[in-house]
Amino acid sequence: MKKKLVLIVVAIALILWSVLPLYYILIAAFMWETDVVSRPPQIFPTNPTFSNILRVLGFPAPGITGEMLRPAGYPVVEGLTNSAIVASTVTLIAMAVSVPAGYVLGRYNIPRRNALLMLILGTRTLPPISIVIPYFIMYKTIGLLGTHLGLIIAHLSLIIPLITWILMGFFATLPRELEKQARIDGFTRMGAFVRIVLPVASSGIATCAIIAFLTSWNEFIMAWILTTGSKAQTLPTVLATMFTQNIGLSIFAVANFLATFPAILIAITLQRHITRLRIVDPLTQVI
Amino acid sequence: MANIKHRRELSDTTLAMLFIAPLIIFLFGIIIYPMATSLYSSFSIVKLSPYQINFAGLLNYANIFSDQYFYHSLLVSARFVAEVVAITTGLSLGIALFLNETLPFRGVIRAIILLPYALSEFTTAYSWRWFLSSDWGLLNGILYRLGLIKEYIWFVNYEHSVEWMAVAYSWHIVPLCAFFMLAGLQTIPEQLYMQAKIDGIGPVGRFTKITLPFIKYAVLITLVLSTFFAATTADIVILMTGGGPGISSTTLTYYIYEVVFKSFNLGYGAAISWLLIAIVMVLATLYFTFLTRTGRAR
Repeated sequence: MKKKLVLIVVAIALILWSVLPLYYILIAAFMWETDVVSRPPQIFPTNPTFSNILRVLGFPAPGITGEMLRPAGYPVVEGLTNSAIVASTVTLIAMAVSVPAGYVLGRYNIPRRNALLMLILGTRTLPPISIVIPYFIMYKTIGLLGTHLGLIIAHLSLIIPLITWILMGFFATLPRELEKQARIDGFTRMGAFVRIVLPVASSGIATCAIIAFLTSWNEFIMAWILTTGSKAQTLPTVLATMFTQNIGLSIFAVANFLATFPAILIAITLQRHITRLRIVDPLTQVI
Repeated sequence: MANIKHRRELSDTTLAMLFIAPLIIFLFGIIIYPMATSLYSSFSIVKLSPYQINFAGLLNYANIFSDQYFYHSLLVSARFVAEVVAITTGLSLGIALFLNETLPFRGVIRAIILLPYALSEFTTAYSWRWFLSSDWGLLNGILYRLGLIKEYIWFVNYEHSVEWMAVAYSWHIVPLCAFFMLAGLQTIPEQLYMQAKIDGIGPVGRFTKITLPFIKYAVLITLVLSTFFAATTADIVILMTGGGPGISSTTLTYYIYEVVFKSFNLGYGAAISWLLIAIVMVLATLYFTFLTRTGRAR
């Protein structure tokens, strides 16, 4: 009985710990500016509104006294589009490179395999701030600064080693007999890979695609340095710029909500599959 | 004529090379080549618009050692990493032990505990910035409503900005580590505890003699992960404290960011970034040797 009580108290404490820091910035998206800055803050919004969301998405909406307000005028929708373009292109290219490479690294004994593995691991430990310096200098001289292509290349440098490493581990866990049986059934080596291995591995590959997408979608420092203020700026970059401009808190909260919500949804669906990949390896540095 | 279908068949080696070639091209093109130019920059004076690079030998590296801001940021980084590692290890062990108990609403509780990890570092930084704000922060608001404070407190001040940053960052990575440890806990056979109880071993003894040996590997993974994450992150500093107030939370990564992207001292910044890489690599090698040894000893 005493133990049960302790467990309940711990459960409540842990839920508060996980939710409280995020709570206010989420509900502020649905509150009037005057309510957001009120002292002490409202624990529940007494006067909820959708005006902020409408105005950020580019529609006029009523203010607190009922008069119509203009759209907020920040490039939030543009940022969302850019984030989607960059993240999906990065995912496609990364998967095209990493799936075959992960397959071979996981199931074949190729010459210099260990050297290649150390190389991939080494690149995984590079701090993003270090990788972005040469990119910044290069892009400045060849004019790739502020372009989708430039950011896509930079993101690939983070994501290809990560995804290749996870996929390598995943392919290695599939049963050895897969290809043997396929070869007996008359498939070529390529045919065995495309027709037999890929379908078996599809759930793991899909999970890795989601990880690649999320990593690019959430990435900040590279996007911030390579795209700020340009036509290619991603959503986190737009938000960080908004924050430095002292804009309304509720408007900022909406933009933050838009950046966070898809990621949370994807992460929750991902959660179920992640154990299957067995990415418990320390040096993968998951997601 | 024999009815044999001639198919083009690849040998194992050809297939392997064909599959691995794109990866190697990408690794060299988008990582090794840029990092090589960065290494060269670190030995040069680099100017932009128009682009100019002049070899300067060890000048940048020599300057690092007389740079008091470098020492300051190195110390801040060390403090930040140590705090993140301590908080993360302790808290994730606690959470793992809690999740290992039979709980009602298990799925919901798990999902809520995993939530901070599902968020980006970006959202983590802003959430905590708001939560701790001295003007409209929820933490101040709650303390105020409970009557514990009369005036709003300035939490992220000169003395404690690093601590709060460490708390926020740990908040983000703890769930991942807790789930590693939980995986370790779940491999412990229940009979061991039964036997220990019969033998009259108390709860502390059961923890050190049974639980710890089983999760040693997971604890090590947590140490490794939290060290690397904390040592290499710049996002949380840029977005949560901006290195401040003053320079009180300027970590090494943030100092590099300032030198390169605010002062455009490119060669010098590259040099410091290579020093950071060297530190991380040394840590990686140490940990790796340690891990493979423990891994084998398991």
